[in-house]
Amino acid sequence: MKTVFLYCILSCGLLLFACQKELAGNAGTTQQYTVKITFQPVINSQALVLGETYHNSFGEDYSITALRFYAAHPSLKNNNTILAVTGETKYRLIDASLNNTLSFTVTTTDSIFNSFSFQIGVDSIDNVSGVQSGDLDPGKGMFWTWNSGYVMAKLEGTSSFSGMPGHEFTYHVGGFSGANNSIRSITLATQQVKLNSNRTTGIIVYADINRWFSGVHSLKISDNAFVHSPGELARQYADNYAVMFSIAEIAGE
Amino acid sequence: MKKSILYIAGVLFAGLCVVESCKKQDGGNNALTPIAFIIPDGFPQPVYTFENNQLTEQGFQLGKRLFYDGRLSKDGNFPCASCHQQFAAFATLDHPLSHGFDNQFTTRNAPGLFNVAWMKTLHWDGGINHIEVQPLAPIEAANEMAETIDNIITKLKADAGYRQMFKAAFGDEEINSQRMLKALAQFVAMIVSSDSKYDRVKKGQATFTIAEESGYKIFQAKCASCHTEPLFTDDSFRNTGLPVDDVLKDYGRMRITGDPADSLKFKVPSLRNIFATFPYGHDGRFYSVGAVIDHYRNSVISSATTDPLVANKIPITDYEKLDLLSFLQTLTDSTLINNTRFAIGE
Repeated sequence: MKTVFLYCILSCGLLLFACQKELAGNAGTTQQYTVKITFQPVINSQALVLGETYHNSFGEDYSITALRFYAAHPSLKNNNTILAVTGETKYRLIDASLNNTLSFTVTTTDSIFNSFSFQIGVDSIDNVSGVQSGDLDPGKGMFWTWNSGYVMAKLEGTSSFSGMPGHEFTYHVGGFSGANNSIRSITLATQQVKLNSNRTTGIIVYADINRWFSGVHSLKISDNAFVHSPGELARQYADNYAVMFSIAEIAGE
Repeated sequence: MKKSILYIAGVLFAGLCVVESCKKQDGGNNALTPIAFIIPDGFPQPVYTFENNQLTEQGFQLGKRLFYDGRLSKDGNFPCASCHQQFAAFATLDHPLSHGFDNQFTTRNAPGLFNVAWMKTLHWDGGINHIEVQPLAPIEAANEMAETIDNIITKLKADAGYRQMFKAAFGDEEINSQRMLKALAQFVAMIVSSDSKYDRVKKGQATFTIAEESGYKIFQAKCASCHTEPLFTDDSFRNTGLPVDDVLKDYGRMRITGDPADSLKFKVPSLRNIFATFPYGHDGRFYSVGAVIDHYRNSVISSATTDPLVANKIPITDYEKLDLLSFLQTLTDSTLINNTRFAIGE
């Protein structure tokens, strides 16, 4: 009787441990490499300063009050081989006004890559599956309340070329389905990089604001001071900002 | 023998320990009380199935409190229930357009909230694709509740009663927009209308009068293509030939899709509880059911997007109109309208 009782206590104790979350990896069997990705909003390779006056390629003056976009599914590839990446791999709301949103780290078990890919925007399924949380919390101001769906990216500011009240411009780009799809995949190639397991490798990705106006399509502020709904104009802005990214630097930290 | 029984008992007990120790923590002693969403006889499968939102008594009660709480609006005067009144089958009685923050009108007639779980999209223009995110629209609209999600969360967090209710419903005291909206979805989705005289006739528990029976036949012949039983809507968008209001300039579905083919199309409203929800139409321009019938008999404007089913008007005689009105009165669900489970008091 006593042994049975002891057995019960013992097995319960063991089983409690069995249900604990797995501890981080099996150290010693696989190497882990840490990569820190930093998005740096820039204008002509100079860090964006909110409120500062700049000029786009049409000579239009502007200053930025807000830049936010969803960076999703970061991945590293070596030629066509995808490196298995863990960490903050789903959505990250990048906000130019909040420095702590610009960087995040991922880990991988492979050591060589020659391209970095990610998506700008929120997957279709997460636009139609009810209320989400975290960086997708509708309280973040990136969810359209009258026409369900996420704003994938937004750029707001002022320009003397805007005909809107306060000379403001507001580009809220969204649309997740069919012809209105504004989700964009971005791949940035680099020379082959060898990761070192002893230190974090940093990838600095520039996001050049000027490309919003002239990346692929010519979109003057004087012609369009706002976009607030899915459609052709939103798609054109998405095409433009999809080419605003470039790898500025890869370095060990 | 006795020892082996004890041994088996011990193994079983250990098994129980596994199950218990692997359970997600649900905040300790306050266990959730699951409740069932019952699909009425003859109804199709609902669109909303409470996926990732377990329906519980605690969640429902929290949703009900939120639904009736003015703090979800900027000045405290406009809870969800200000436009969605139970005695009007959760529409706004006697108001073509509802009242919102700072003496403003809404731009559309508040629809009755019932059988929402069966709707693929919400709002007259179908702009909302999921029941859980619908409350964001009236909450943030400047002419409705005029509030922000962040402000609401701050107000709720300051209320010990809410902290307790969130803990009861979700396991801990954290209050966030996702939990708030899921609780509201539990309350609203549970509002089901399926106990009108029509429903009881269908179940063989009541019989139509001669006028109602005649009206039912006329309804089936002339109305049911769009107002399909048993929900009395096919959930589609149609232009019923109403002239555009020159102040509201509301082109309906086209605002969402940007497609000129959707110009002036609005969601087909359910005819259930129609006698409780007057006035009618997306902007509430019709003050009686008879006036709506007269529109279809006499006033449909035929344009490029007018629905073919009504473009040539619907021939309805005065006699048929009276019978039709008799039948439509059988769609009033007094059980729902008087159900204290959905009322503020309980």
